[in-house]
Parts: sequence; structure tokens; C-alpha cells
Amino acid sequence: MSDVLSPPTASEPAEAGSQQGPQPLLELRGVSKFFDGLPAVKQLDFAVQRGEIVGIIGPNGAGKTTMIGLISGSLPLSSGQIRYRGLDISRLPPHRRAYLGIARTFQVTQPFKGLSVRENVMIGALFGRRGLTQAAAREAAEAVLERVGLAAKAHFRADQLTVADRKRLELARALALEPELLLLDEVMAGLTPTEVEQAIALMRAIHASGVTVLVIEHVMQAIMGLSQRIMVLHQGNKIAEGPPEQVLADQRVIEAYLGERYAREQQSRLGTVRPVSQKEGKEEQG
Amino acid sequence: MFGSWHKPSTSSTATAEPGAEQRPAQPKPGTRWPWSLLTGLIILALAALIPLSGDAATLHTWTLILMFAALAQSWNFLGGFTGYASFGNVFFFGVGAYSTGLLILAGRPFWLGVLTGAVVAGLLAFLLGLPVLRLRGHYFAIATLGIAEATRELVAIRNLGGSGGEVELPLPALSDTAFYFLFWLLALACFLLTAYLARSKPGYALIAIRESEETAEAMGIPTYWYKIGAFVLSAVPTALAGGLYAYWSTGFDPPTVFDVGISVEMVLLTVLGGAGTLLGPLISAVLFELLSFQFQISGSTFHNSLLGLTIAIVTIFIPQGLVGLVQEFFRPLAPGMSRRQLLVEGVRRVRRAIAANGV
Repeated sequence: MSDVLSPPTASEPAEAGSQQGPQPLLELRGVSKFFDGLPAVKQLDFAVQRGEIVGIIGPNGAGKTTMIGLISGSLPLSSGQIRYRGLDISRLPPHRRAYLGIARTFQVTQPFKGLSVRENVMIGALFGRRGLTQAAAREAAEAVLERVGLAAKAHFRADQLTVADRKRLELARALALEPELLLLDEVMAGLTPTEVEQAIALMRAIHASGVTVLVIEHVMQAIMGLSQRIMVLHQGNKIAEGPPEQVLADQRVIEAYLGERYAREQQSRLGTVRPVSQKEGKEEQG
Repeated sequence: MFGSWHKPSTSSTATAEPGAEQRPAQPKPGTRWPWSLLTGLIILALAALIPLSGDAATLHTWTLILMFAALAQSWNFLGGFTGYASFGNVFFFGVGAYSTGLLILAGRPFWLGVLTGAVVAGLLAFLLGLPVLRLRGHYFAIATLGIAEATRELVAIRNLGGSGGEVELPLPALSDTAFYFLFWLLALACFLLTAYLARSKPGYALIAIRESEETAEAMGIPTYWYKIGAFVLSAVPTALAGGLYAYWSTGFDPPTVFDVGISVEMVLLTVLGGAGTLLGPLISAVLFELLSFQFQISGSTFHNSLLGLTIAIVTIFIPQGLVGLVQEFFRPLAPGMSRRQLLVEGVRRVRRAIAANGV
């Protein structure tokens, strides 16, 4: 195993594919997370510049969802530091981070089941930094639902939705917060190819409107189509980072996904590599 | 309530900024609310006529009904809306009773005692909530149960108010009718507070916590403080009821005002009526308390068994509660359905709900 433990220093992660901005929007410094002593994320250094759209890939159990949990605050850090807009947010509760503009979706969708789709989205605009009145929040919810293509089902109860629509609802709820940094945890799983195309277009639009986006996705079509930069996690370590083509051609990435022997056999077909574990969809969830 | 579904839709094909008017009108959330509010107010208005009967026994029964209506509605703030089932809310009842009892014994007016009890209970709910509301589910239930039980023992051992915690009060200066209307006011206040919660921003926060606490946090809701707020909101009216009960009963002891049975009754009434609903606790307080008294009056030695059986049957077949079942019936499935379709769909859905839960 090729563990590339990044040096735990306070230096800027200059090897990041993007140009080194004055201050990253989000910065993880030596971040680790242990579950009962088992490492899920190890000494991770990672930064996202304002306005970027970054893909995070890795096999199941690589620590991707854990990382989202750490950034959004639903999981406490074991060690390290997370900075947002230069501010140490490591100890802030999730609602404070939402207030600062960090919104997330849940891989295992967690809607407010007994409430209508509209109310689910409304709550995001009602609380947090927007703090709209109920009437304004309801209007904001309508606009967001229109955007993600759920407007016709606004009156459905959330537990009546199909899996794909629940994913849309996750996205809508996050968007209702008007985030600065959007953390998307496999919102495209379970969508048809056409729907994936639509979702990609939607995310481009979201990104174009000035939102910095961090995407976890197993759908390679989406990751390749969206990301300006990709970071690969494997067993809690960052094993590669850079432009999509470069990362997917990386020997360690191919090994991590498909095993060493397969990698040797299939070296000629690098561009079309797809993760084997696409439909298992099980990942550690804090 | 059906009217809003039939508003003409002004759908346009324009690609302009989509507005709310461009889609078929849909029922607003809480469409049922005015009806629930109206029904509740009618029930309470009718209850205000009870003293006219002039029958002391009826008045006594209904005083207790209103007390339990207030208690169940208070429990609903935390247990129903927020989803944190406390099994020790009688603690606040006892705090109210003892604050009132002790202040009356000290020669203070009773209203001062009742208000003091409410303030003390609110403060205690805040302080106890700080650690206890970090717990979830069963652990929270057990912790609250433990607090109430421990307090009962403590009050008895410390001989608070008298030997073994027994408090003897002078005969109240208020008539039974006056007491009745005090309890009535309390039940009304709880009802109006619930009505406010059912469609206000804080109410949404509590419901969001119940539906998914993790999502609620991610949506920017400071869940911890809202939970503590709900606990305080639940404690204050409970203590007021305890204070009124203390003065009305002219004497009480720890086993009476810290009785686990009262806690259980708050839970039962709310769940049977429909946890988190506006009408549920009020309706079931009336129905089940009346039923309970009826079983008692009928003189059968097993009235508690009959009551228990009724409760078991209701919980098994309609776990969402009486009001929950009615709401299931009226829940709109799609805009623009005719009344007939709605009726058919409603019956189908209720039957399915019962079948799915029962057998």
C-alpha cells in the first residue's frame, strides 16, 4: 500500500492543482477522525479555493462521507483543524457552520419525513443565515423546488418520494440555505443517465452562481464532467489530487479502485475506468 | 378547507423567473389548522358550561379532565412536537404543588405560591435540561423518570412541609367553580400555545428536531437550545397545574404529587390523541378521562383492566392517535382531486394505516 501521509505542517498545500489564492475558502489541516480507535480519515491536508468545484472520489469506506461530516460539524474531529474563510471552525456546532454558509446533503437521505416537500425546503430558508419570514421562506422554497425539478411534488409528504426525488430534496434543502460552500454527498446515485445529465447541468448552474462546490460521487460521468480538480481518498488517506485526467491516470488510484493485478492488465484502457463498487452504496456513516 | 385546491391555475409557458402563481394552487400546509383550532375552542367553550349543571360530582370530574388536558398538552410540547418523551414530567407538577403548599403554610397568598412554583419549575427545567437533553430516546426517558422518583423520596425523607412530606393546607378561600375556571383557563392557555406552535417558526424548529435532529442542525437550527426551550415550556404549565391542584386538594403527600402514574397519563393521553397534533391531547383527555370515570362509576372491580384494554387496542390499531388518523384521512394526495375521489382515497388510506399497524 502506498500511503502518502502528507506532512502535518501549517504550510499551505501548494501542490493543489489550483493556483494558490490569498486564502482558501476551506482548509483542512492534519485532520484525523477515529471511530473507536479505527482511523476513518488520517492526517488529511486539503484546501478548496473560493469558486472551485472539486470532486472527491475513492472506494467505499475511503472516508469521503466522514470527511463531509467533519466539515459540516456533525462529527467531531479527533485531531487537526478545519478553517473556513480563515476562521477556525473545528469546534463550532453544525448549525453555526450552516449559518456561516456551509450546507450539506446526506448520502443516506434524511428528510423531515412527516412534513411536506415544501416545508422541508422552507425550513432551510426559515432558519440559518437567511432567517426569512414564513411567507418569504415559502416563496424561496418554491423557487428552489422549481430549480431542482420538484415543484410538482411540493405538496407530497417527504416519505412519499422515490429515492431519486429524495436525492433532489436533499439538494433542495441544502440550496435553501443559500450556501457559500455546498457539500454534495452522492446526490446522483440512483438517477437515470438523463437525470444525471440534468443534475450535472444544475450543478454547473449552481457553481456558476458563485457557490463553491465539493462533490462526492461514484458516477464518473458526473465527476469528470464537473470537477475542476479531483481528490482521491483511499483508506482515509489522500492518495492523489489534481486535474481529472491526471488523477485518473494515476497508478495508485487505479490500484485503489480495482486492485493491483487488474490495474496491470487494464493499463491500456485507463480513460474508461469505472469503480467496481458503484451500486453498493454503503459507506460508513457517522 | 377544500376550496384552496380549486383555484384556477394560471400556468404560463413563459420561461421567465418561475413564481408561485405559475403552478396549480396547492393546499397550504396547516390547512387543517383552523378546523382543529375551531373544534378545540368549541370543546373548551362547552366545557365552560359544565358548572351550570350544579352537580358537584360532575364539576369534580371535569375539573380533573381539564387538569389532565393541561398536563397532556404541556407534555405535548416536548414529547409530541419535539419527539423527546419525558416520563418524569410529574416532577414539575410536584414542584408546583410543594412551592404552593409551602408558601401557603408560610402565610403567603396562594397565587404567589402558584406563580413561584411556575418560575422555579421553569428554572429547574432549564438547569436539568442542560445535561438531560444531551441524551436521546430511552436514555432521556429514563433520566427524567429517575429525577422524578428521586425527588419524591427526597421530599419524603426531608419531611418537607410536614412529617413524611405530608402537607395539610387550610380550606381554600375559593369556590369549586372558581377552581374549575382556573383549570379551564390553564387548559385554554395550553391549547392556544399549541395552536401558535403548530404554525410558528419555533414550532417548525421543534418538529424538525423530531423528524431528524441531524438534518435540523445541518439546516441551521440550534437544536439544543430549542429542546431546552421546549422543556421549559412543558414544565411551566405543569407546575401551574400542580400549584392549583395543591390548593384545591387542601392536602397532599409525595406519593400523590410525584406519582409516576401522572407522568404516564400525560404520555398516554397525548399518544392516544395524536402526539404533536393540536387537538389530540385535548380530545383524548376528555374522552379517556370520561371513559375512565365511567368505568369507575359502573362499579366494576376491574375498571382499570377495561381502561387498559381500551388503551392497548387503540395503541395497537392507531399508533398515530385519534387525531392522527383523522389527519391521515384528510391528507391531500394530489391537487385538484374531487371530493368523491378524496373520500375514496381517504377511506382506503385509513384502512391501510390500520391494517399496516395492527395485523
